[in-house]
Amino acid sequence: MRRTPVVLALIIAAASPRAADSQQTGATASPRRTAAAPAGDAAAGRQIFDAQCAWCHGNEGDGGMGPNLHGRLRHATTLASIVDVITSGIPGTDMPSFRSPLTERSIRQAAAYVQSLSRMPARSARGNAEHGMAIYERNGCASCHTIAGRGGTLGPELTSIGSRRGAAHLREAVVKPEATHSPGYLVVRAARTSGPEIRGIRLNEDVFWIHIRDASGAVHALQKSELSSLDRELDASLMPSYASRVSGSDLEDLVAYLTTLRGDK
Amino acid sequence: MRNGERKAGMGAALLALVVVLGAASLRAQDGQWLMYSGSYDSHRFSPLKQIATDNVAKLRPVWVYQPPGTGSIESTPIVADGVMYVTSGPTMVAALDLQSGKALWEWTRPIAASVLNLGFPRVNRGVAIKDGIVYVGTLDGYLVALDAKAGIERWTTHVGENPTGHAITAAPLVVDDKVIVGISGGEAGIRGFLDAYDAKSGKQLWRFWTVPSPGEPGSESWPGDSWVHGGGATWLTGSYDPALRLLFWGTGNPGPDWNGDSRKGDNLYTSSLVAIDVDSGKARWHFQFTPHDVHDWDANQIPLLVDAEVGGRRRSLVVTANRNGFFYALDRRTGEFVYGAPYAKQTWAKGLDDKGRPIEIPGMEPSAKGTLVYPSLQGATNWASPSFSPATAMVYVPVREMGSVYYKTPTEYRPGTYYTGGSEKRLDEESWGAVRALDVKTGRKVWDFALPSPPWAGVMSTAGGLVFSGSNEGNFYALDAASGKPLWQFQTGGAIRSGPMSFLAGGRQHVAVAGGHALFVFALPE
Repeated sequence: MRRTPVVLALIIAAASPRAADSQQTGATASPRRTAAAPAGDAAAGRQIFDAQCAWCHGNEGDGGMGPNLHGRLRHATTLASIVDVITSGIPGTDMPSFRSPLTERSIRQAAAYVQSLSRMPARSARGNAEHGMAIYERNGCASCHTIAGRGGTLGPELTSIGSRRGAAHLREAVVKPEATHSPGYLVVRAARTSGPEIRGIRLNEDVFWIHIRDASGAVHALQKSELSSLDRELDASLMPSYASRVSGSDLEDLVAYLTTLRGDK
Repeated sequence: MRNGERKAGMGAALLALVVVLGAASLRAQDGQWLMYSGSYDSHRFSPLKQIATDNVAKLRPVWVYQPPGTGSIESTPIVADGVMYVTSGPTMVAALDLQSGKALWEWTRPIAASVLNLGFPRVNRGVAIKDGIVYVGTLDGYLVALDAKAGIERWTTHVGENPTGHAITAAPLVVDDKVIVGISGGEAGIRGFLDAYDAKSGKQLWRFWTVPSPGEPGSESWPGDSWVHGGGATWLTGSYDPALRLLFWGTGNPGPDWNGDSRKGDNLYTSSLVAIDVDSGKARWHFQFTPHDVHDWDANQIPLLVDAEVGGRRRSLVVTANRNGFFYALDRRTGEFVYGAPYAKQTWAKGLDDKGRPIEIPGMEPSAKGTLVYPSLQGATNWASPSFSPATAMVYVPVREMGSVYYKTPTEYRPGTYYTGGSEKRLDEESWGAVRALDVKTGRKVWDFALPSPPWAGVMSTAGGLVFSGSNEGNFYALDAASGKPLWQFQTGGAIRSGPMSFLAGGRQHVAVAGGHALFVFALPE
């Protein structure tokens, strides 16, 4: 059997803040400066933000894999509550606890910087959200995605996607979905020694087992010892690119609509 | 210390053991596990062979222990005089009954949330034991001696100032009447040291500074006052050769980690292996794997003391798979470079010169825009223990195949904060892992057992022809030590970030490993 190593990378990354194994590891993410020029605790916090937070929340805190932090924050409104979020994470989301990698003082400083970001005006998406909703419906997005309880289940639920992802990330997810690597949606291809090949989303994997959901929604529990090959397709997504079908102002309108999806999640 | 690697057979080894090493080491042959790595040579090799290639498929859990608190257990338990001692984070020790897994006592040091752990988790990796006293380092920088029967404190000694980032996570090592303990804090700009304390009183006997002060040998490798916050932490347990009376201890990265502008020079003795006279605390030799390290490639990996024939000559070696991607064999009497070769993907050096110094590829330093380098800053291996089997003459290494984009930023020292000068972005999705078997005579790969992600689990080999290790995905498994073929596995339900060990209880061989926040103990059916 050709053994192709596959990683629960995003799941692991979300569950264990990177600096948590830095004696061992260290800090992470881009060091580029932000537009803000904070002072005191917030100035020290900016360094921590660059190292620990920017790879999700964007170099200027304006969103990416994680939400835009400009404007009113969804889960915290006071300095104390921001400290709580950084310390404990947000259950049910990708926001992990930083209790382990950061000290109380560092968390306080990072929180002060995040609070300074939240006082900056939120940039609204450029497009027309109402028209974006029509684009969403016209293109059949609901066949795979659920919003507020309605839609398909093959792709990620979008009920609160606007509160969890920045606009640039959402735009890329539409035109180049394979580049955005939605957590938990890695495409794998398994060839069995007998029976047809299985291609789909990797639900789980350990050293000896892999669970795959195929495009029909069927779940396959496979023992690796019974596979002749197992390949992960890092550059693939079960979602097709919509670049040729949704572009220009339609794309901006769709992104604007997605950013308005901030339902409880 | 086991002797199998030094003599032709285990029988001869046992005889030599009685003469040279005394009763304490003999007990290890009786199914105990008396120190973090199992023995002074750090082979993490169990001489027990009831569990073997032909019956390991029947291995079953017999009990599970869950300590108070939360978080991964990163401890290797020790077993002495019929009791297991295991630790959990931030600083907690439990004494367990071997048959039932029930706690005889639990001791917890109150660790305030304000206690610093800059650059590592709030964990503890194990204890040392001698003459009825259990020794444990604390996250807030103390060494504590506990009565082994009752868990009551006998003495407490201050080792390092926690407000400046000093902490202890490593298991101490007891040699004769000395307790040797290392220090963490390499991301906080500490000046590293290794300490020895009197086992009975806790009085400090010596301190070896891993970064020399002005005028001392090696100080020429530090410009200005850069040595003051020069790093060189000693955050993992080392090895010991009783015949040479030498400790072999790895040292960590220089500070700041990723920005070397303020510390131009080799930065001795960081990212090095240092051989220290256990009586005087003086260095006899050193070998620096990564001069002027700017990738956080600590050299704290556990060194294995091995005697082997290399190039037709019997050599007393210390071998180590370094975080920088190269495997090294050194003469452990002199520190002379014997051989070295890459054992994992690395993109920063063309190779090693005839002294073992890396021939570096220009442009691989961290930069403002980011520089892609293999291995990642977690290294091609990390603190997870390797193992050496005298039966196969192979070294088994937990290997991390991963690259990182390294960034460099300005930094200045502020007490009790990160002093790193950069960061990394790991290439998680392209990464994988392995248990890799290397021929100790050459460092060449014999076999690979691939893992879905770069592991944090240690490796143990046994006289039963087995290699035990774990995965981030929760699998605890046994491989054929000769071929790497998987023979058994158990899903623990939590990431395995600890080292396996083995012991006898009631005449039966047991194997233990921590997965998630639980300690699992296995045995064959009665």
